[in-house]
Parts: sequence; structure tokens; C-alpha cells
Amino acid sequence: MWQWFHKLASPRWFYQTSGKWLPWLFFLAVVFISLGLVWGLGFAPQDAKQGNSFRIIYIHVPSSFLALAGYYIMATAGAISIIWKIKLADIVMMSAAPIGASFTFIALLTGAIWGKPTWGTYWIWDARITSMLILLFLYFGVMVLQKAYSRQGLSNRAAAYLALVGTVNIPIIYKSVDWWYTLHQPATIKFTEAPSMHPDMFHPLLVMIAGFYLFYAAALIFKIRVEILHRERRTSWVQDHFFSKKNKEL
Amino acid sequence: MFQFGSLSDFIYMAGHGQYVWAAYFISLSVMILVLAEPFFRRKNIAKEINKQRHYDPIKKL
Repeated sequence: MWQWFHKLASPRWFYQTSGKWLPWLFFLAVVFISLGLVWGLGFAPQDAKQGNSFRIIYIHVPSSFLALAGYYIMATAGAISIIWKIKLADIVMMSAAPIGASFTFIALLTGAIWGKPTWGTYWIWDARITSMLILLFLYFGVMVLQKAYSRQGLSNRAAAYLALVGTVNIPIIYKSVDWWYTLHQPATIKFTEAPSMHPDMFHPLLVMIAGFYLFYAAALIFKIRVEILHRERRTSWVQDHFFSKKNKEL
Repeated sequence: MFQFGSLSDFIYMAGHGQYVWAAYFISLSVMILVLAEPFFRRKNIAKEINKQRHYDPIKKL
């Protein structure tokens, strides 16, 4: 069991195994996102109240999901790196932060653009929007702390602690639409109930959510792999890897 | 069923086109940047390793 655990945590082993998966993940992500784009933009019926602006939902909701899921991954990696001091966990936390920040940015930006025709304003200090902005700053904080100290170990520990403390924000984001009912509408999709959406609108959304998850997985693995190469660039396996493959594969 | 009668209808989206297309365009650009950053970083690492391989201390003298 422990042997398996350590093998899994070895950057070299991760690099070699993930290489087989990565092209498939990218391929599936492109297929799902392309299908979702065409379906959501052209074929889903328009909303009775909001008209065509509702089509922004097909990016807004999936990117919000990943802004939160990405935070779980980052904070979990941070916890693992604090408890077991595993190198790979540090790399995962470090790579997850900018990707999560990007999705949080997309969620906020598409929300703002959607707000203009729907609510008449780009921005309002609504509970959901404000807590998402705090999430973005938490991601930035982790990114900055990772470069804050000259000793990498210390920087990683500080960033991991911030990531863990910041998880307090996650339930607030989830519950914000119920606790403070101001402007942002409650969740359209819940695990416990049927979606409050017509199936013709809901199916392309599911395709988009799947596509965004696949994209996230592919982007995170890609970023982790490059970070591994960077950290182990002086080792013989990385040098041999580049020399034998002649820089052709990703 | 395709929801729009013509291409210009599809782009205009009954007045919401500017919001919808801006949201999609910016989001996809950000996602491309997410992939571009490690892509170019990897290229630089490869370049650096290649340079070290071909580094010949005798030639430098």
C-alpha cells in the first residue's frame, strides 16, 4: 500500500503515466466543448424572459463549477503537502492555482456581461458575486505566496495554509444565493432535485459542463507535467526524454 | 432545430449578440491562454536542455 502510494507520488512516474492519457483528454475536451458551443449558441431554444442573452449560461455555469472544483483540488493538494510533504502535491497545488483563477475570472466576467442586458448593470455587490470575487483573490493570494519566500518549502507551506483557510469561503459561495436573496438567481441545477430548466436547454449545458471538466483535467495535467520537467530538468531521465523524443510530443 | 433564420440573425441575436459573442470570445481566449502558458514554458525548457547538450567547453576556449 505505502509502496504504491510513493510510486504514485513520484513526479517521474506521474509524468510517464499521464503522457498516455493526455492526448485523449484533450481530444474529448475539444469534442465536448465544440458540440456544446454549436448546440448552445445555435440550437438551444431562447429563454422566454431573457431572450438570447441566456446563452451565456453555457460558459457561465461550467466555469463557475470549475472555479469551485479547482479550489477543492488546490486545497486538498495543499493539505497533502502539509501533512505528508509530498513533492507532487506541491506541484499540483501550484499548477491548480492559476487555472482555477482563470475559471473564476471567466465566471465573473461572463456574469458581468450577462448582467448588463438582464439586470441593467455589469456589477453589483451581491453576496454570490462578492464571494466569487473573494475566491479570485484567494487564488491570487496562493499564487503570490508560492513565490514569496526564497525557500521553496516555506513558500509552499504558506500558500497551502492560505488555501486551507480559504475553504471557509466555499460553503458561503454555495449558500449565498439562499441566505441573501438579492439579485443572483438560485442554483439551476441541484443534485437533490430535477433541474428547473427545459431539457432542450439543459442537455447542451450538461455537455458543456462535461467538456469544461475534461478541459480542466487536461490543462491541469499538462501544467503539472511542465512543472515536473522544469524542476527535474537536471536529472538524467528528463534529459534523455528530450533527447530521445526530439521535442516532438507534448 | 437551428434557432435563427439567417447568419445575420445568428450574429445579431435579437440585440443580445454583442453580449453573447463577447462572453464566448473572451472566455475561449482565456482558455487558450491557459494552455499557451505551459506550452511555451515547455519549449523554453527544451531549448535550455538542448543548449546544455551541445555546449562544448573546448570550442569556447
